[in-house]
Amino acid sequence: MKHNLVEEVEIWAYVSKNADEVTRIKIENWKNSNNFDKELFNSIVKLYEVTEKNPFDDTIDIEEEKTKFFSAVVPANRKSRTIQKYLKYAAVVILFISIAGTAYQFLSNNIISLETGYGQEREIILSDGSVVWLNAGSKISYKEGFPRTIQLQGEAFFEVAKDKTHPFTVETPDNVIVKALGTSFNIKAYPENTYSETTLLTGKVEVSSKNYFEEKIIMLPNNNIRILKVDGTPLKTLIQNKQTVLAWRNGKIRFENAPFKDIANDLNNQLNIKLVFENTTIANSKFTAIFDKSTPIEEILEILKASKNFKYNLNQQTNEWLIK
Amino acid sequence: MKSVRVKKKIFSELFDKYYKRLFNYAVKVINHRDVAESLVQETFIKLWENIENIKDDERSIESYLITVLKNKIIDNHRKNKTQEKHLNLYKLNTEFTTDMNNVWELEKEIDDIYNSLQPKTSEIFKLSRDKGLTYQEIASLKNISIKTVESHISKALHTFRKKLKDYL
Repeated sequence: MKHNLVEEVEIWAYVSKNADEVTRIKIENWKNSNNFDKELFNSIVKLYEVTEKNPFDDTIDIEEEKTKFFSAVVPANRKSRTIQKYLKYAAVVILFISIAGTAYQFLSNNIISLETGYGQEREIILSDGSVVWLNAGSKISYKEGFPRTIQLQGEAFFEVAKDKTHPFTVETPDNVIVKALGTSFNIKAYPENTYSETTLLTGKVEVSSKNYFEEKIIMLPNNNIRILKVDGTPLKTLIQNKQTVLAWRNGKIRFENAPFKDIANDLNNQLNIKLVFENTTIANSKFTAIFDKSTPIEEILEILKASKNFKYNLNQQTNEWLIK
Repeated sequence: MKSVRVKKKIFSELFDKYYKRLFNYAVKVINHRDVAESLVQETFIKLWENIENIKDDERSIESYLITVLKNKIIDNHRKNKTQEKHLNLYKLNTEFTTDMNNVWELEKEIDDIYNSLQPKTSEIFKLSRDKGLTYQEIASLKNISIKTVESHISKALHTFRKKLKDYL
């Protein structure tokens, strides 16, 4: 019997890549021998494939989904008994859910948060008519009913609806505040980056900072202000080409005179690729480049390598790229 | 007509029972977490609106949920595919629908097998499949011998191969 030769458990260990060296060699020899039972082997490979758990399985929060659901079908603080009334709310909320995707509404403090995962982008229309394009790995949140006072982590482009009586403010994790009346601007403020920056395209905004400087900086169209977290100095430059700033909205990743470690952070957010530096000099050296998001990482690294000298290799176990 | 309080209790139980399975299924078919989450939410909302018209037994409710979810997935798929301007939209949609139905049957079958195995066997098999642990690692984690681990794995493999023989 074939089964005397190899056990199913050994094939399983081999297929699930957890076999010890002895078993691995045994199975490989078996595969090349006359005793190889292709049907058995393939069925175990197939079994391995179909039992794959979905990657989000551990992060499902049924209670949170329930809360979302009940807040959609049962409006809070209303005593109305007719189902018809509830249905009206439900219809509105279906619309809301399908537009907003993941709008987590925390009932406890009524903070609305919208976020994007790695490699995702999303367009959000706020209740005041302002439009936000959220780049990958980013998050905005605001108190319910106050969509013009926003907390941003990551990168977003804002097109603010005009309303002179209610200024539109965006606050970053390092407490830089950008205040606008009716205008469009881009903010990049990933917590892991060494800087945060605002670029104004049209209109007028005011930048202030609780942490870094006293004065308020007025920005005019095509101004870019980059604030280095290390000392809080605001660097004001004029942007030559606004398309570069908005490159991410067209599926591109851009770096402008950015340290390699910030680039690594962008690659992590946008493409879920991890870079680890073994050499701080290279981590701090600066690059300017623009890539399609579809560019393979090897190609990106090859191109960067052309201007600065470094070596890279992939650690298969951790799936991290070592840069030295 | 049921009161909102009663309905909430019923739906809370329905979420515990079906949410995970429906969500896992939707993610497997459409490969997009946010969309899957929204579609499952919309499915439950539809049930909330129509529960008065559905026969009050488990099987009717389960089949209502999966039918609504499947339709929502197909709608979503069509919307996306129309944008891509495929030449043979009909063929593509039919194939998608067939695949989609198979995935649901298979997922259900796998779920049922896990439930029919002894809890210990299920747990050990999942440590191997989902956590990618070696038999040695499972043995020391569970404080049992490698032989025992192997016998659990073997039992699980045997059951899976027998019950899923049409799929493997």
